[in-house]
Amino acid sequence: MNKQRSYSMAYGVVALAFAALALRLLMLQVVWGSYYRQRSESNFIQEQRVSHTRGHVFDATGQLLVDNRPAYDLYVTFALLPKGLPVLRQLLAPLHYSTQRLRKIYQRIQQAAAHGLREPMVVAVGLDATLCNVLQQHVLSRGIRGVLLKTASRSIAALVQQNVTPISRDQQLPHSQQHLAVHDSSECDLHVQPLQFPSRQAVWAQLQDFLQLSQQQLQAQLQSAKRRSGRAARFKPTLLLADVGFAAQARIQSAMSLGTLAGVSVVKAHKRRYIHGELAAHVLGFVNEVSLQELKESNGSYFVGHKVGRQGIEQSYERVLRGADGVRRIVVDARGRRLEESRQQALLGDVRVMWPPIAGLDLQLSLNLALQRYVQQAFVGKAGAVVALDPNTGYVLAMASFPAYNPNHVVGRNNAPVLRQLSTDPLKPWINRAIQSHYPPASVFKPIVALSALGQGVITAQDKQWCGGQFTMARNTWRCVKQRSHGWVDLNTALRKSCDVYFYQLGKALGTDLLAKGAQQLGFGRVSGIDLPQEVAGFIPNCAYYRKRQGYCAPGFAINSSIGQGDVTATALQLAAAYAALANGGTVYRPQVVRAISQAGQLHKEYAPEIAAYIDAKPEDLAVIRQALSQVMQRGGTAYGLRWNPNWPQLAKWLRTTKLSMGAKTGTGQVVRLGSQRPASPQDVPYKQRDHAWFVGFAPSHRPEIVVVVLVEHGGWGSQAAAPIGCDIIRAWSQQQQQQAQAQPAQQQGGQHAH
Amino acid sequence: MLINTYPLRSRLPYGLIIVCFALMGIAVVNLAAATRVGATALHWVHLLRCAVACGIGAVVVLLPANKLRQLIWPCYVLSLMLLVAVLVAGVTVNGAQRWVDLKVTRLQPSELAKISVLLALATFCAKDWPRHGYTLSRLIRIWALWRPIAVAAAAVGAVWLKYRLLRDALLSSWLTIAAALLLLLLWGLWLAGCIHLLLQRGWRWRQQVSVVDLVAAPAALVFMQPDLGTTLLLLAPLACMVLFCGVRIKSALLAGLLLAGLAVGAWYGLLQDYQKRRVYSLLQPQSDLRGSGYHAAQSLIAIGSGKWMGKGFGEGTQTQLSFLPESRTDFVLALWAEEWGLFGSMLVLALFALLVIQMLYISQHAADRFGQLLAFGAACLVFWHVIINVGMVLGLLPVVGAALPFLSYGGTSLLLHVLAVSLCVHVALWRQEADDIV
Repeated sequence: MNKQRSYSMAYGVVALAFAALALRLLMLQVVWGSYYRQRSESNFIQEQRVSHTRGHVFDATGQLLVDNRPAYDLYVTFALLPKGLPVLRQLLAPLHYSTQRLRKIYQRIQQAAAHGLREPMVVAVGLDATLCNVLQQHVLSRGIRGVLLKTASRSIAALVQQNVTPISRDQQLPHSQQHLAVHDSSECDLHVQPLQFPSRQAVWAQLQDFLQLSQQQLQAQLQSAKRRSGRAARFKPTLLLADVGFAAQARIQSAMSLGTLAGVSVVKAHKRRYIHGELAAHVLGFVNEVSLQELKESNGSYFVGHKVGRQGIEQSYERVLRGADGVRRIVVDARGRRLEESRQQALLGDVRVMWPPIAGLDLQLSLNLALQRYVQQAFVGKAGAVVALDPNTGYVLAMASFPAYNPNHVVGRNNAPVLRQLSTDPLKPWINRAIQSHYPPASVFKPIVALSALGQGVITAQDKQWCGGQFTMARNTWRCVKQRSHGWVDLNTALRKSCDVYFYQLGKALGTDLLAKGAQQLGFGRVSGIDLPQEVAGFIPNCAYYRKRQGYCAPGFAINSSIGQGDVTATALQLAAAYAALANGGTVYRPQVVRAISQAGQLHKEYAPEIAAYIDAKPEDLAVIRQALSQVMQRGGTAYGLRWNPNWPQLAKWLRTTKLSMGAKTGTGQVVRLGSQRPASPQDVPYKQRDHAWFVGFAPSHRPEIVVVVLVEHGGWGSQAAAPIGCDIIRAWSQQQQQQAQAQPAQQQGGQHAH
Repeated sequence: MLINTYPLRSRLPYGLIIVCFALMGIAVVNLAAATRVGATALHWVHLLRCAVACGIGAVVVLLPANKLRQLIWPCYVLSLMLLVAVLVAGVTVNGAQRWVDLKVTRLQPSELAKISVLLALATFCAKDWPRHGYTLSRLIRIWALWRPIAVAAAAVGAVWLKYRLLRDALLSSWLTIAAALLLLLLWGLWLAGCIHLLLQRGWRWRQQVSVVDLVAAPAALVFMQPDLGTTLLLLAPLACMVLFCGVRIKSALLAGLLLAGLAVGAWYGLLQDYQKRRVYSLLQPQSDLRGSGYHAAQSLIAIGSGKWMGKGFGEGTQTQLSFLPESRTDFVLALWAEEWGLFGSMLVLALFALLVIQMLYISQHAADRFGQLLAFGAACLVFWHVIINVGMVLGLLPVVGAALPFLSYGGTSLLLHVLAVSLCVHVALWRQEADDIV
């Protein structure tokens, strides 16, 4: 036969074709093998972030102030939410419905689910027995939930593989009952339970129920979740609701284990907890979700849902408190479901954690919890601030601003009304009044002026001035604090009685510039550099400023400045730092809130006291001023009346009996220039026009260990509104010191006994 | 007639049978790996089916040659009837009606049609073998009487079935109506010519039917399911066989030009955009459901990630974690290649090459034209199945529904290929006998 050519061609074609396939296989499996191996791994390996915990915060004595509590966050993966239409199509395939009709039925189911309808709805009626059986088989074999086949005559529900409620799932139904179907009856109806049948609406409706949310609230959350996740992240879990609470979490978990909440997951997270609530809220600050702007600027170190410190040390020590998320690999199948442990182990081996989460570092504050708590209790008044410093180190022992807020409410769930209320409060609770707002220091500024005058040699401590109740210069008249004359006053008396006229004369003699220079030396007019954010500098005017503003520098400006009025402003912290320098012999420390950074109990870094400046004052000048200030509490001083103050009986009694010597200065800062007539009582003046009450105290006066500054905003007279608070704080501190002193020897003795 | 068992044993094509069983073994092992995910043990089912198919194959092998020839035309008619039945009362899966439910098992008549068409072609061409190759007129037999009648019926049927599809195209302008009238006139002339020729020559069966008709009838029925892959796999052996018999070069060129012109003209002249889209979805029902790009990409990942030695039995993540769709049927090679690497896939490829070459060898040494054509057709059948499936799995060809011989899970497909191999064995066995007779 003449077919040999055909056969050789056929063999050739076969050989060529198989060679081509073999070549292709070689390319795929060897040349590009590594690439495809990687692709297959990225198919099933999902990298998950493991959240880290933020550092804890302790007080100076090691008591916990801020920690993290476990919380549950609700995540949603949009791509994995149930798709009911294909399921419905499968189920109803024997009925040969058109696609349009199926869609309509599915729409009805979704609507019913959205309204939370529990009772089953009819999908098809009067199906004959064979169809019923076929449907029954479909339902059982595919495990479709929420489908009921009711016989038309007796309406016996056919049970669907797994039952609906968790209780009946536990009570395993006998096998025969599970197949309790429609054998006997001739016809049956097909019902669908909207909340059980897989659909997005059913998931939302269940979540609404579990979370006690209204439809609008949930939809709003969904919208914001979608906005945050973006289009690309359909396969990534997106935070729907943070901190859902334990009860809701338990219900969601049980529903998830039943399989009705496909696409929903609950992730354990950490929530910031401020253990003492409002205590030191302004020092601690709070955390908040990172904003989109910050996300963009962070270069990938922050992720959606991360928390960022706002205000206080949470903000200023963000880098320390914040740790780093870990990364863990998990194995998922094509539908994004996580595999069981053993198979994960087989595919990934033991190195599941790419890198572990790094917890943030802990902070130890210089705050004393007991003192801080007392400060918070002792403060009387609407608004104000208290600062207590250790004058020998600059550490802040207590710092409080009033009104305060509770950071737990600020970071908590449903914080919107809290935030709204805090933001609209006319007293502006957000502001840390100790450092973030400045006030005329008034009389508490006088020792600073006096120190400058002594240093410049303008006066000596013994020089006396005549106080006639008022001071006149260039047709202007300044009144003294007291209407009547103080008579001849020296420096000691002037400070003790807070005689304005004496200081007017000092101011006139010093001039604006020298006065400003002295104040700046003690830290006024610039930020103290405390490790808290948004500190303000206050203001000390000099001639250059006045020339710029007024065109000239009149001596009258110095008169105003000399009693801490006019354009002079300072923060409570600045005053505390300045008085600390006066008290400790001339060292200006930088105030600090954080004493040390530690990591799991190990000291990581310690912040030693930091000297900002030495003031060039003679020790004897400082001694004179300290001496004068210590007499403010004595007979003839402005704060002497406290010993019989009926409003503070305990304090009064303590003051009368204590051996502790205290230095102090009261001040009353005018907010508005008043007319010639001083009102008899501060209550007659509108709140916003009342004077600020100041008190600065330190103790013990010869070797100070604490400086307390109290500011009561619009509180009236310093000696009446601020001084009792300050003295009370010093009393608490001294009693605390005494207790400690008693406890320590007792301990030592106890230890000796044990030997 | 064959009486002695000794010569039977000596003439058995052992190589072919061993390769065949080796492929079946691989299929069972492979399906065992795929079964780990699912609940039903596919590999045992497949093993059972292999046994049944081998039994049927043995019967075919041992059937005397003349008995086999008697069965050819009844088989052909039966498979045509089954194809009509599947269109009328078939089971729809993935948008295509392909199965006939026989209660015990589901049958895919289009697979069986391949075998009966093969047999019919072989016997027809053995008689019809043109000395100097086929001419165009012999392939088409345009003057057969039933031809214009069938064309008219097809046109009416098409308009009736796809009324919406064609309405706009046909009634869009007076020009098309005029063209239709012209066509009608031409058709009348054609019919008259046919009747004239029939009267002149008298009735002869072979004058009325061509090789192409034998395949066109079942192919059209399969195309309507719709199942493009099987249609192509029905047409491919025909083309091979016609080429094998020989085609005059002029005729071949003319036929090619005619076909190409028809296709291009229809595509650009007749159909609107949305109609084309409908044709797309008509040709590829699966593409609408999930997107064939996903299939192809996952298949490549599965194969490529196998590298040299594969991931090991049951360790293929693409299948085990269900990233690879259709991993037991059409994409079964991807599963094998992923778990056994280049080593495994080359083994399978080599086995298939051996299979086809041995079948061709049997064809080459067959005693008569029928045996030659039958074995050649069977070889073509297996060859095209392998090429189309492997080409699809390797991302060289578009995704059409085509099973891999022996390896894919599916009873009818397995039976088809076992039958194809059995027919070859049959040809090899009966060669001596035929020689004796001649």
